[in-house]
Amino acid sequence: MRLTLLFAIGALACTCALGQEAAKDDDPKPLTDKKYEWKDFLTDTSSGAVTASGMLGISGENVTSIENVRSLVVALPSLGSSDSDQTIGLSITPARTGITPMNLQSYADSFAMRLLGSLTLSYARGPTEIEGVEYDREAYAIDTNAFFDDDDDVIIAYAKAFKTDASCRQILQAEKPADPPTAGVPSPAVPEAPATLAGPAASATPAAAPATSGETAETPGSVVPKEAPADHAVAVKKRAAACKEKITKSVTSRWNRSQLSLSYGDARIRIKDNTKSRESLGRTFAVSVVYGFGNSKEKSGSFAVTANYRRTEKEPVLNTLAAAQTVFKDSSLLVAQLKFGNDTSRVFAEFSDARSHDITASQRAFKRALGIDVRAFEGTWLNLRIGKQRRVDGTDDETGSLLSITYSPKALL
Amino acid sequence: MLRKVSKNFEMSLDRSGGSIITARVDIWKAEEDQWVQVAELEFNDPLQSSEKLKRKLPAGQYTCVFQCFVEESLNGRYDFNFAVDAKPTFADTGDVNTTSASNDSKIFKDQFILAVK
Repeated sequence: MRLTLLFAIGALACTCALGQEAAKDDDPKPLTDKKYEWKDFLTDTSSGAVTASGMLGISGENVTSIENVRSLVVALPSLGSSDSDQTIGLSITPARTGITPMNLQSYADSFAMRLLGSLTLSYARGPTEIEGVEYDREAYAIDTNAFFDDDDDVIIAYAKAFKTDASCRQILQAEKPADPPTAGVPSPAVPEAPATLAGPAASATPAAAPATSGETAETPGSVVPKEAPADHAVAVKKRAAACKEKITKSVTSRWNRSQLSLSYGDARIRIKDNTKSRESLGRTFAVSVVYGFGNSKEKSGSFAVTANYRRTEKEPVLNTLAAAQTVFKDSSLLVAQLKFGNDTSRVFAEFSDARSHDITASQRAFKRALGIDVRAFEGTWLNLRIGKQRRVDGTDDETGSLLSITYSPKALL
Repeated sequence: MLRKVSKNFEMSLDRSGGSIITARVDIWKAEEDQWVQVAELEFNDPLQSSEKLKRKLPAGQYTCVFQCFVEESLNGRYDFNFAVDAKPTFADTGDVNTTSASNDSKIFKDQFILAVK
C-alpha cells in the first residue's frame, strides 16, 4: 500500500512536470493554460458519461437523487423557484424508485428491459460567468447502460445466487417451531391470528381463531406473517450481507464485462439581463460498447475491445456568446481501444478519428496511443498514455505523453 | 392457523416487485420430546414470479415454520403470496426501502399447523 501511495505521489509530480515540459517545447500556449486541461486529452470510456449536471459542471453534492415520492415532493419546490442563482441538480431512475417501480423478474427478462431499468433522467440548472458576463444555464440528459450477459449484472447475479451458490442458499436456515414438542398433538403455541389481515378473502372474515390442540377448522384467506425476532433477523441479514459481498466481488472482478451505454444530453444558456435570446449550449449523443473476450462466470477474460462514439452539435464558441451572432460548431469523435490485463492493471492500444483541423478540446484526443492503467486504490487509477496527437494549431501531429490520476466509482475500462 | 391437505400437497410462493424475495418452509413432526424435521421447501429463485413445490407426507399433524426474506434490490417494492394447496396462507405487500442504505430488508417468521389426511 505504501509503495502504491509513493507511486501515486510520484505520478502526480510527473504529471505537473510533463505539463511544464510540453509547454516549453511545443506550444506557445502552455498545456496548463485554463483552455487546455489534462482531461481534454483523455477519452472518458466510463458508462453514462453524459449527465445534465456533468454538462454544466455542477458538482455531485448539488444533485438530488429521487428515490420515492417523498424525495420528489422535496425536490419540486426548488424546480419552481424563480431564484436563478440557485444551483439545482435532479436525477431519477424511474424503474428503481417506488414511483414507477420495475419488477425484478421483468428486469431479468431481457437486455432491453435491463436498459429500461437503468434509464436515468437528469436535470440541472445554475448560473455561470463567462468573460465577465453572467449567464443562466440549464441542461437535461437521459442515459442508460446494460450488460449483454445477465450474469455480469450484479443485481441479477446476486438474485441467482440464492439458488446456485451453496453459502447463499443458507441465508435462511431451518428453524424449529417456537414451542416444545408434544407428540401427536399440534403445538399449543401456534401463533394467534395477527391483527392485520391481507387480501379480500381475509378482510371478509373475522380474525383467525387462535390455533389450539383441538383446532379443526381452517382459516380462510391469508395473513401477514409475523416479523422475525430481532436476533434472528440480525443473523439472516449478516449472512445476506456476506453473500452479497462475495457475489459483488466475484462479478466486478470481471473487469471486461460486455456492456452497452447510451446517453443524450441537451443544454441551453441565456444571458442574465435577457439582452439576447436563449442559445444552445450543445447537444451531445454518446454510445459506448465494451466487448470482453473469454469471460466465464468464475473467471475474468484477459482482453476487451471498446468503441466509443460521441457526437456534439450546436456547441457554441464560448467567447461569441455575448456577441450579436453566436458561432456554433459540431464535432464528433470515435475512439476504439484494445485492452489486455486484469482488474488491477491493463495495457492498451487506442485509435481515434480526431480530425486534422478545427482543433477543439475533444479533438486533442490521441489519434493513436499506447497506454497503461494501474489501479492505485479502489476506484483510483494511474493512467499513462504515449501517442500521436494533433498540435494545438492543427498544423501537424506531435508525439505526446500523459500521466494522470483518474477516479471512477465503477471499474474503468 | 391450520391447513388441511391430502398426502400429496403443494406449496407455492407468488412474488412480484423490485425486491429479492425468498422463503423456506420447514415441516416438523413432534416425536416424544423432540422435533423431527420431515421436509423442507426452499423458494429460492427470486427471478421467478411463481414457484410451486410438491411434497408427500404420511397422514398426521405437522408444524410448519415459514420464513421469508425480503431485501431491496432494483427497488424496494415487494408483494408475496404463500399458499398451501392453493389456499392463501401468508401474504404481504409494501416497500422495504425505508432508509438510504441499499440493502434494506425485512425477515418474516411464522408458523402454521399442517394436517395431512
